[in-house]
Amino acid sequence: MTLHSVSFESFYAANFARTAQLAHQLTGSATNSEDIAQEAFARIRSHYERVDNPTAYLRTAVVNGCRNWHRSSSREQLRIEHLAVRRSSDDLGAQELLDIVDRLPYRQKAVLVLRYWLDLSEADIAATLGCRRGTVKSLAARALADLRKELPK
Amino acid sequence: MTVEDLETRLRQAFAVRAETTTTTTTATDTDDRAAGAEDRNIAHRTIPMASVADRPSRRTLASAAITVAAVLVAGILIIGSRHATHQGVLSSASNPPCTSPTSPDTPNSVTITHPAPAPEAPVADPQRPLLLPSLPGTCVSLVTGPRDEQGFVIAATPAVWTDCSSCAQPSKAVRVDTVAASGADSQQTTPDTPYETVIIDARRFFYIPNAPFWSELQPADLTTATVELVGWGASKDDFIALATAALAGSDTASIAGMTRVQNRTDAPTSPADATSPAKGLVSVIVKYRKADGAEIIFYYDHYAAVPTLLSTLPYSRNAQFITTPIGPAFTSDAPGLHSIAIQPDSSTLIRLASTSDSVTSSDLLAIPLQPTTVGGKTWAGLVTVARASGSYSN
Repeated sequence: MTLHSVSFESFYAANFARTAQLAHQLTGSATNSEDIAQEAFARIRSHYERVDNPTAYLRTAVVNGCRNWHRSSSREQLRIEHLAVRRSSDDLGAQELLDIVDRLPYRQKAVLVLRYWLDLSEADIAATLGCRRGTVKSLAARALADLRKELPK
Repeated sequence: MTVEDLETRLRQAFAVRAETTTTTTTATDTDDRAAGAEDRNIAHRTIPMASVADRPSRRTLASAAITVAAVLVAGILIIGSRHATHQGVLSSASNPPCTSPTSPDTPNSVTITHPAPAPEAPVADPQRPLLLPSLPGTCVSLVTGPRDEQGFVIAATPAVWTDCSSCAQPSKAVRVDTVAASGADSQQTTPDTPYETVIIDARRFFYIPNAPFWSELQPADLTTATVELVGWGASKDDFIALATAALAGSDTASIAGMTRVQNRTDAPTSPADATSPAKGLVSVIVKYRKADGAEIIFYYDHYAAVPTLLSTLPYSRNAQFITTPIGPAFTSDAPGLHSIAIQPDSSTLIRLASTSDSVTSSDLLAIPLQPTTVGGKTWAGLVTVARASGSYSN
């Protein structure tokens, strides 16, 4: 008997889209999100039968995959860092806000995504990022402060 | 902008981005993609190279391309310089052009050899309820009656289908009318002693989670069922002491009886055998009557009963049942689940139940059942141990 009543195929089908969305949030790149999601599934596949919480495992795998993606694409990001068109904060659109979010350091961005998109608790975010809850708090506070600084007046 | 406003906008922005995430997953290719996430080794399937599931990531491709290009350039420069040094001519331009292996005429696919897929785990069918532990309307009655000196009563008769009187479900009535009884339990050894009737709710009986073999069996397979009444001359006090420890905090259970049902005397030795009606099945149904009068039905079968058992009975980890002097000699190097019918004398009956994955991380899971006296004879019980790893011997 396995730990899970859900087969890997079913788990995959049920979670792939959400996983790709998470990757998209963390990378800002729709084109790379599927690759990262697929790699995360490939990573969990060999452990699936033994993992206590495959959803959390998958989430951590995606977060780590996106972190690696950020590292490899940091130069490219530097080139486009200042391309966002600045507007006033009132008419700031979702894409503009996300552009600013995408320029945050990765861990700050990850905290924002896990907190405001996945609605994870601080404890779960800490577990996903492999840090302490206090670190999550400080990352979130720093991220919001940086965002407010970046926002047009 | 306040922090609250910013948080609200962040939630909205993330929601917008999530909606724009387009995945290429469709109902038809989900399986292939899931397979791609598996070990890439499923039986000889041809998967398009363009499949996202199996292609390398873009950055992997780019990285590989850069590496290959760098090596080629370096190689050409080195060779070319040597060539030029010796001949004064760099003649690479005369080399034949490279032919692309993926020209339009070449099938853009690759054949991957995968291992045979593992058997699908059965999916619980909500229309076919599990064998529940207790319960009003559960159509299982037990045979009680005489048994021989080995503790077995083997009796066979063609079963008759009938509707259960309590729930009106089609059920199998097995009447035991052949007796091989003798021995010390003299008050129960009269061949003329009438047996009670076993009524088995076919739906419940044949629906076993995690065991596709059993669920495929049809109720008709029981038409030549043999009912065995299994009992042992256990020391009641010994078992009570153990059961009290194991069932501490729970209601005191008592064994009302145990039956073993099979349609041949030779038990199946493998799940494959069990799929054959000719081989039959081995099952045990135990009915308990708790102190408060409630009944608990415990179903056990040769391969898949342990999960059922674990889900239906109170149990205590580390009950150390098999370490007691009355426990049977039990040695197993195989991780997995084992059911042992306890008999305190030398003719211990040991039955291996399953070698499936452990359901617990504990090294030992023992479920001793409190014995009771049925028909003037004290019954022992059935104990199941789950070993996650290692071996055990007493």
